[in-house]
Amino acid sequence: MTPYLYYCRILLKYLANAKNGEEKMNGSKFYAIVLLGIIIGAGIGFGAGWLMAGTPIAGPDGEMPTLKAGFIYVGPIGDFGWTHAHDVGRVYIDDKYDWLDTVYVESVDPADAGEQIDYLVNVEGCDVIFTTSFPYMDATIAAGERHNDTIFFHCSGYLRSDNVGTYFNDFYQLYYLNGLMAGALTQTGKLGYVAAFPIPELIRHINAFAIGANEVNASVTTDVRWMNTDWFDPTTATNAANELLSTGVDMLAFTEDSSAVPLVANSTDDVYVFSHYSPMQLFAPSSTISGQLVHWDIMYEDIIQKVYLGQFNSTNLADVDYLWLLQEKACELGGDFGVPINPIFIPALQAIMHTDPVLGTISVYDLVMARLNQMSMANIIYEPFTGPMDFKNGTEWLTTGESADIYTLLGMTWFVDGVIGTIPT
Amino acid sequence: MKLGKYEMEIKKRSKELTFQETIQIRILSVLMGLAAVALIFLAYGHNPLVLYFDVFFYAFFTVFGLLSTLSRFIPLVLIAIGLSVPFRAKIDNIGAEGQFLIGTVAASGVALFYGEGANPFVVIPVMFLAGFLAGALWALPIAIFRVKSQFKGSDVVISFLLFFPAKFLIDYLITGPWRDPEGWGFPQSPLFPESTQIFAFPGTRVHLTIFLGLAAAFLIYYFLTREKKGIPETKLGYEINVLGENPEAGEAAGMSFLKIAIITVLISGGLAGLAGVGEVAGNPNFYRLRPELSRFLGFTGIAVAWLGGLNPIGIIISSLFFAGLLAGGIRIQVSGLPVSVVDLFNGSLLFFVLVAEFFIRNKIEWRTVS
Repeated sequence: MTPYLYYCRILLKYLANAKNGEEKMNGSKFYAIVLLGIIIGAGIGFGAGWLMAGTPIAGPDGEMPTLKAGFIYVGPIGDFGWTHAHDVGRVYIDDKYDWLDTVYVESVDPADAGEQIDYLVNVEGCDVIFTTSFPYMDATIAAGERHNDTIFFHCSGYLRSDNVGTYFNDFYQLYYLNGLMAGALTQTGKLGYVAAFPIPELIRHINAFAIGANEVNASVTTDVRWMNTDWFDPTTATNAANELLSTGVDMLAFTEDSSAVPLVANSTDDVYVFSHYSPMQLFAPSSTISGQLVHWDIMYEDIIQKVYLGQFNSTNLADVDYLWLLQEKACELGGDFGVPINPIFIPALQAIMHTDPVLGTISVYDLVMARLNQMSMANIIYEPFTGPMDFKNGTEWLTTGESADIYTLLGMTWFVDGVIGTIPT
Repeated sequence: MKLGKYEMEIKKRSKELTFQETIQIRILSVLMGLAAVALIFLAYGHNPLVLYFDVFFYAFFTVFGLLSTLSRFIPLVLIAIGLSVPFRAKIDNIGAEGQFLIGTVAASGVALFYGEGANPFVVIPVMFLAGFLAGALWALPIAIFRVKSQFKGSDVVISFLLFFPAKFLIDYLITGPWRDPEGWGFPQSPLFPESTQIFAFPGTRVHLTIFLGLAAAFLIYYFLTREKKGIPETKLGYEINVLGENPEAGEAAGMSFLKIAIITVLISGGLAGLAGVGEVAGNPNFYRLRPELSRFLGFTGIAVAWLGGLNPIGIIISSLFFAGLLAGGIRIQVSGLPVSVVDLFNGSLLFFVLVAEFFIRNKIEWRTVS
């Protein structure tokens, strides 16, 4: 370090022109210093590189064909939300399979997505590219046309082509289950939802949450605050949550990638929260009732195995659309893995009785477990979006016994009855 | 200020540095920036020299890297060339980002409502014109506030604050009246008709706007900065220089600061607007109005303009340099460093570039305290 600091001091002195007040710069001295700097810097750099060089990683067995997968992430992998969850999935498959190598690029601006995809294909030599956010859709389809032999999977989009498939892991069933608990446990009859952006996914989740709440308590209302700033914006999320609390809300659900809303609940008495995406129960251990958790690892494993075995190739993906729900076990109920409902709240839920036309009079705890079970079966026998159901303005949407199909839900742009607040149009 | 047995004093340089000397200071400050970031790379256990070599080799000496450098170069050079004009008159337009965004809105409006089936040779120039006018209009208040307002720095405040209405206007349009009816409710405008998409070289993101950037650099050189023995050859360039140095003296000599202020901010706003048009209708990643258009190139452009010495040729070089840094950042990422290090890398260099301006105007004298 010493020669390095010495070098910096020479430069500083040079810039300051030292004490003799000499204003004129001496050209040869300047170049000599630059040259000296490069030599010293190179010495330090190579020395440090020499010291820090680890043991080379053993390559995969030469006999086995290998696969390289590239991931484009929308946020930083440390966001404790969306991108973090995808990266957990990537690390899982990377560790598990010797024949698989992965590389990722974080915080990719959708405007640069096409470029980064080209980079991963042409420079890194990736065979499979996962683009993990909706705004990459156009870029992924266009990249699919440029790179005919590469396999692409785009998360949460609706456009596909011969070599671009789509995949998504939806939570609406989980939000419905969360809504059941929120509707049963609320004291004020007001639920709040902090939502990042007014897109169909969130509208669907808010509706599912409200449907669950109204099933156990018809008078409950769900209020919504749109953030419209970023998927990761703790400040706005905190403000939105506090605003909801000031209107008398005592149950908070949210879709935002930070732990801001659980922290608000943790610091306010008699306010409870449903964790989102990652195990956030640890931020509000006595205020988190339940939540939604994701398992991208299971989906990535399924996709990458099928690619490796040749079942998916660059010509047959036009109809490959993974839309996984509870039954595929790619999502999980709870605020922490393996804890569907925080044990603190189980007695209260068991004490509240509900009369269901099919299940009879059962406790809300049993109702949640029964619904979870019904929706986890290979043959789903319960759909939250089942009539009679009205639009928010009171006109009928679904008649008795009619269920919304998944494509209607995917393009949902309206609120159901029971949700207050508006969707920006 | 006393530091141990040394005493440090900051003094204004008594005489102007020559062109060569300012270049030397700028290069040195970039090198010092690289050295500062090198410490972070070392802390992560990476060899900084290998990384720097990798970044620059990728950005300038590989086909992919060079193409992505050029695609970032296009908006950056237009913005920075524009900014250099008011900067010469000591008008601080730091809101090029807002003017850039308004340019994208104007171009989108033309493309969405008049683009279908139109002749590209007509509609694309109209889009550029609309973008230029919108950006210039957005910048106009800066000149008025700079000259007429009573407090110093009103140009900084007004130009920065005008960024937000531009950003919120885009948010409003893409979640409201211009939302894509077939976009499943996602906040974005419909895809522009093919006739309004600016020609991009096949398979690349380099579009014809690059020539507009180079033309703008030439025009600014020819009409404003062309000098003979240190004195601008054009009347406009001369007035900008004089008023920038001393508005009172200039006004006393019969020049109008308001007129010059308006002309300079209109040029800068207009060029930022052109950059916006090129980005939204030329970059194949867009072709539609989207919130992600705001990538703060307007703010990066400030440092680019200063690093280039407010000189068109210098700005072309510094734009290439910064575009290369932005494009080469991916090499830092795939080497396993977190993306925040890439931001730190770009941010530190911006910082050191601006520090160089301080050293060009001031010097530090050290004395030993006896």
